Amino acid sequence: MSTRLLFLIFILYYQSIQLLADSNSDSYELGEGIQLGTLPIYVGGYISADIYYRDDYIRYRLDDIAFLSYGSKGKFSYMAELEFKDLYVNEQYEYNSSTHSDTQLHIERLYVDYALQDQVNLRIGKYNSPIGYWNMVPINVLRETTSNPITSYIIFPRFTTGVEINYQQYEEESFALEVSIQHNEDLDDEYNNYQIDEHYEVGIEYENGYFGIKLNGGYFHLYEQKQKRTYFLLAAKIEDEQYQILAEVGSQYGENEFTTTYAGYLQGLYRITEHHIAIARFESYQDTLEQDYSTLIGYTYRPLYPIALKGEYQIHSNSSKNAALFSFSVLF
Amino acid sequence: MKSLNLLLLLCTWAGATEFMVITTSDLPPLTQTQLRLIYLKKLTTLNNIHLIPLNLPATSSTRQSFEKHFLKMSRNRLKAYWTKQHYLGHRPPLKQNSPESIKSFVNNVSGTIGYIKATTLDSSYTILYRWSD
Repeated sequence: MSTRLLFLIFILYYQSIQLLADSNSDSYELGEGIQLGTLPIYVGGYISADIYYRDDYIRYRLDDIAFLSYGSKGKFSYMAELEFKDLYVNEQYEYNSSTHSDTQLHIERLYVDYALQDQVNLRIGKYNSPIGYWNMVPINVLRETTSNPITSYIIFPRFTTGVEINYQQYEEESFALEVSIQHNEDLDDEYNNYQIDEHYEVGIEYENGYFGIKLNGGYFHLYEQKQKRTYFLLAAKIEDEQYQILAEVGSQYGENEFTTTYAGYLQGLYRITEHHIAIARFESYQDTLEQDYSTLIGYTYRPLYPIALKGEYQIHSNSSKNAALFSFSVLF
Repeated sequence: MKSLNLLLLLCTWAGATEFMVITTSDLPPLTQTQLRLIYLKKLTTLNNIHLIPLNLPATSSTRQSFEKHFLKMSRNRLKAYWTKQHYLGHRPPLKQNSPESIKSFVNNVSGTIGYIKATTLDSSYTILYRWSD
């Protein structure tokens, strides 16, 4: 299928949701999806486009076009997310340019949840690996920068296809413990940063409404390279109405040596008003290929929360990687 | 009941509006923290009872007062929270258009929790909390 046709299908999908929303205007709010009639099924989606600019390279990209569906009945619930990634990519180098597109629809998430008890939940399927804070809501419109910190995609597999069991104790302070097991190939590994056939992970989390801390550790197996990796990630956040401070640091170990000695970032976010947000991020990592330090300054404008216009500038220790990024994203 | 009437009288005299959180009788007493977690859908079952928190429309002053007192989050932060929850497959509390719908729901469906102005209440409901603005 051509890129234009797929884009047209997505626009029609978006328009039908808006029409459904108009016919049910009392209950619809942008960013919260729409119910299909009286069925316990909700649909929505998101889109994002970005521009990456460096001295010797420019990329224009229709990054994400995704369809969401979820619902619950009794103790069961489900989530499905299908996505086109890189539907349109135009890259311009110093002396030439190229355009390409991936028109394959991929399964980003597909899982069923079952509430075993008040505090215990079982999940089966493909889901975001429950590691750190960034990886829980990694899509463009829900984060405050166009780019992802490297820490969020070099330490652990971003997706797991398997079983997760989660225990949560909520009081004035909340405590959570989860175990995730994959002993098979990915349901769809197109977007996973590692092609794995085993992943065992355990995480603990503490939160008191203002401060949260999370520790994850695990092991995974790369089936093509036939390599084993172990990792850990420590994440912490402080948040109130005005600001958020988020930090993650982790390490990855291969068969006999560190494959990522360390990777970490510290990000501060200040809500100037409800629509205007200023961001600064400091990041550093060292793996077997390179070491880099970077500083990012960014600004996000949200006319409504589910719509984000962002700009950022990255300054790297290797100045040839300095870059400016801009993006537009919507969740509906 | 006498003390409730007296309280209402005092509130009216003082110009304050009194509100109440009501629930079905099958639910145990809930702490304010539990109430907050139920309205954020972090706590969805209790003693094997499926919990159903109810909201009034976003423009309702009763809802605004409830959110300020119990959720302790601004409307913008709540909007950001529910937008993220949409991505995670969770819905905000069910919206009811009037206090009458809330009372009817609480009368008929197990595990329901709602809030209304105290003046619209009669004695047949289980009152969880009272607060005034």
